[in-house]
Amino acid sequence: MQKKKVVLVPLDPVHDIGLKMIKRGLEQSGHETFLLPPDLSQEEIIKIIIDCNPDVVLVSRTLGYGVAEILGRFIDLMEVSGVREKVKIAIGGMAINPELAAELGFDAGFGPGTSVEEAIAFVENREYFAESTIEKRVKKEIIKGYDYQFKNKVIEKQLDLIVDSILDYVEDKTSTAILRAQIRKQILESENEREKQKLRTDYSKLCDDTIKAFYESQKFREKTRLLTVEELIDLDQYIIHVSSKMKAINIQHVDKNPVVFIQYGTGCPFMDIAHIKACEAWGADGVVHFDPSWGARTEGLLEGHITHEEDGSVITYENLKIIKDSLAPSTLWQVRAHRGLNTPEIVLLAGKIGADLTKINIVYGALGGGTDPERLTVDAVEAIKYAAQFGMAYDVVTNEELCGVPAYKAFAGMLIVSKLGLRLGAKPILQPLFCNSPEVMVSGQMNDNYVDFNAAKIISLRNIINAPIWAGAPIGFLTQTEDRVQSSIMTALHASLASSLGVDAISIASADEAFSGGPISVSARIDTLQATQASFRFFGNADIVPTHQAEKWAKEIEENIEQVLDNVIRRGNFISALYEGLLGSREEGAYPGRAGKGSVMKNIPED
Amino acid sequence: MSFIIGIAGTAKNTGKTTTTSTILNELRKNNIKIGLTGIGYDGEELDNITGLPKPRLLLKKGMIVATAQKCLSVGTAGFNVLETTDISTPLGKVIIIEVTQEGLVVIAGPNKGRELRLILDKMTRFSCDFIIVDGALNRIAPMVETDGLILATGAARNSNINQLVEETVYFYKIFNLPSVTKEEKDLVKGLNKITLIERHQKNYFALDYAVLIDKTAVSQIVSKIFQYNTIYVPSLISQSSLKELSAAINKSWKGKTLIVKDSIKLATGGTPYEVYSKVEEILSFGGNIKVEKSIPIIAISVNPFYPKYRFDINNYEPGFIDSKELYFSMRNAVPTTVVDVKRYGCFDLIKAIKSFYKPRE
Repeated sequence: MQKKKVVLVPLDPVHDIGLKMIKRGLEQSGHETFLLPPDLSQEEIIKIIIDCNPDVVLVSRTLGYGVAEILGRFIDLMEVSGVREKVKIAIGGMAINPELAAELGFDAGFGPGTSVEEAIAFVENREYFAESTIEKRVKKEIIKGYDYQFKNKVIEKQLDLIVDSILDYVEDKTSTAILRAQIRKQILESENEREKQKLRTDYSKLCDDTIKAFYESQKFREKTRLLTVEELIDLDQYIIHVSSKMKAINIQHVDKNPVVFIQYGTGCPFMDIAHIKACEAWGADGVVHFDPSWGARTEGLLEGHITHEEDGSVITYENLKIIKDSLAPSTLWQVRAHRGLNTPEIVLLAGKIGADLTKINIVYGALGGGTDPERLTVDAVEAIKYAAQFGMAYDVVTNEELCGVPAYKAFAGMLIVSKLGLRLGAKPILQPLFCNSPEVMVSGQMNDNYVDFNAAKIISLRNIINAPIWAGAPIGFLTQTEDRVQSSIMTALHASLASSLGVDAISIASADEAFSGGPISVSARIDTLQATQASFRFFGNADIVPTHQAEKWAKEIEENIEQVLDNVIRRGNFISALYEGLLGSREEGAYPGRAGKGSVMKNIPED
Repeated sequence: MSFIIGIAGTAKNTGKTTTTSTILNELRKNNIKIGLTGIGYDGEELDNITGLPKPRLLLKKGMIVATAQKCLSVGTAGFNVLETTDISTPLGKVIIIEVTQEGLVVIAGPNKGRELRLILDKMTRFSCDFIIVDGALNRIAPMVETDGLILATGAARNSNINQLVEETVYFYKIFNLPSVTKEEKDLVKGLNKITLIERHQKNYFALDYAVLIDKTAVSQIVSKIFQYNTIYVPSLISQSSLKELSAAINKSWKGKTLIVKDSIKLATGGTPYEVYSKVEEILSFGGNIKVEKSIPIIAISVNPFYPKYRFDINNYEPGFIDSKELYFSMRNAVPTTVVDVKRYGCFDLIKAIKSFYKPRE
């Protein structure tokens, strides 16, 4: 590499830090640098450049109105002095981009986020392939390195007994959801339109009246409609336009920082994609699809690109497909299926379209999500089989904690559904609540700090099993207020606590999520993404140290889990245990769901 | 040969694109082959800095355009690529195209004088009769390659009409300095350093510098000037050096001539008032100042628009000064064609251009 002579010109006295970093990088690469003092006149700078005869001049200046003319004159002075022809010149600073560099007459323009390597490549006349482009980001792994070995052998044994009983129970049972998933699979795999139509007729017979009306007479459910062709064309143009401009920001600062997910479900796939693109641009690693609450209580799924006037984006093959197609290749995508009457079919669709993750939890879905425990148990086993078949890991979220169920009971349920998954060849991810739950509000475990009890949960799970942990969902929930700064700080601190505890992934809220009083705004999403990034930067590999209370509570949680599992075993039937409150009682706020009650059918094997 | 006209501005938002667009529209009616390039970046929808909407460049079939590769994908005009040049810009290589279907274009051409020359030569070879070089910001240095300028100025440069007019008058005067004689032209031909010349004996003394921007060069000139009657500066002369040179030679300027390469080398050296007041001082001492290459100002285009900053919303909104007062004050003060194309149309502008360039019928 030929040694280059580089003059670094801080035309902006307060913003020459970038130049100093570039100077160091250039010198380390063997180049000769001259960093000028910041108080020279333009004529003095030109004189130095003439005398120094450099190969490259790098100018630093933040842009504002009127500054463009100062830079334009500088380039003119270079030109009329005859040095412009001899040197390459670049401008760097806030608000600088290639279009501005062209307008100002520079050879290149470097804006915020430019790496030292990019500047060195410019000096060395090399083409720079930005590592930071969104297309080049690598998809992160959550489950890698986990062998699911139980450290607590007592619990492992207990779980095995319960899983045996679940599998025995469901063996000869089926449901309309399972049958619909089978028909949907045939529809997706058939290339014959007549056959597809016949299958749709069969499908609609297994649906609620509202869904039946759609298949039989194209009648849409209230507050839903198809996206128009024009809207879909606009969407494609929007995606192309936005994707071409996106650079990837890394939220993580050190390796141990967890993978960061956001949740979307505006009701409109177009709007969802806009939220996703903004979050990708600000560094989100993954996105979670939220469907409408009525979707969980309705037998059957719709078809087409459907938009919905309220929260929750309607799950159809077409909606999921356009969302998936809009994602950057590195973005992890989860379609949640954990709580309703269409669980197997949603997991099937997610798998067919190429989702990375899904979400299945019988206990939460049955006790906090409104679905009948027996029905969801039968459906979830089928759903987990699909997840295993498509290689999709699934998380088991303990959102029943938000109803008031104590963590140890929710964890017992989570471990049962996880062990069930392991038995069926799937990869579960533990998703404990990482926030201020009703349990601790009543019992006071977070009166002093938000650290110890969250730490206790993670420590207890780590003491039980070597499995991935995804803190949910969203972290810091019920610690955030309507104040966006406060809310962002709470999210960021919970993120750093999760990182300190070695958690693999987190879901974060927008700064206005808890108190938006309407749709979540994109700017509020960026608040928490940036706050999380700043917090990761702040703590780096430094840890947040819980008090001795964390270990004590962790031990208590672990002992209580054993006790709960023992109770379930003694009851002899997992589903009865759910109905009877062993994994969360009515007094604790858990009510067995009624949707789909009595709908489990005897599975008649085909001859 | 093509006739090349530069649209130079005194700042951003002074009306360069509107002026360019007006000329394009009018001249195409004369059945001449028009070429367009630019030294910056123009034709985009929103201003890079203020975010306010900008005028667009609508090109007609048959026009020849030189613009950067990345700009081609954001326009709507249909085109054939005539040549991909080796000239690079931050937005990719400069491509020469012929418009095949009317549409919008974004222009980002070469931004150095030498590269502009290469592109202009190529466009000439593609049979352009008339080429417009769209300017950028307040940049004028590459305009040395043009045959004449239209100066776009207005409230975006200075919203005080009196000050704006005064500045324009001095700017015009700098560009209206007399040209060298044939004999003087031969005398300085090929010189690329500051050179002192005794024109009768044809004695030459060359300094080590091409630019006149510091005391060392001024001192050297002053120490030798008594033996010579001509100073030739092929490059930049800064305002402070001109001031020092004027004062140091003082009354000895009598009978001596300062020849500068072109007016742009003087105009970029400082503010028009300061530069021209030193020119006047040298003239008052009995000296002469001439330019080797004349770049006439064909017309002055005025624009009352300026981006008005609003502190309450931390953003810009369109602002306007009194357009009639601006136009008439300028017309009364500057002895050349003054136009406000938005208010009064382009008749005077086209007339002024045609006085320099006669399109074939």
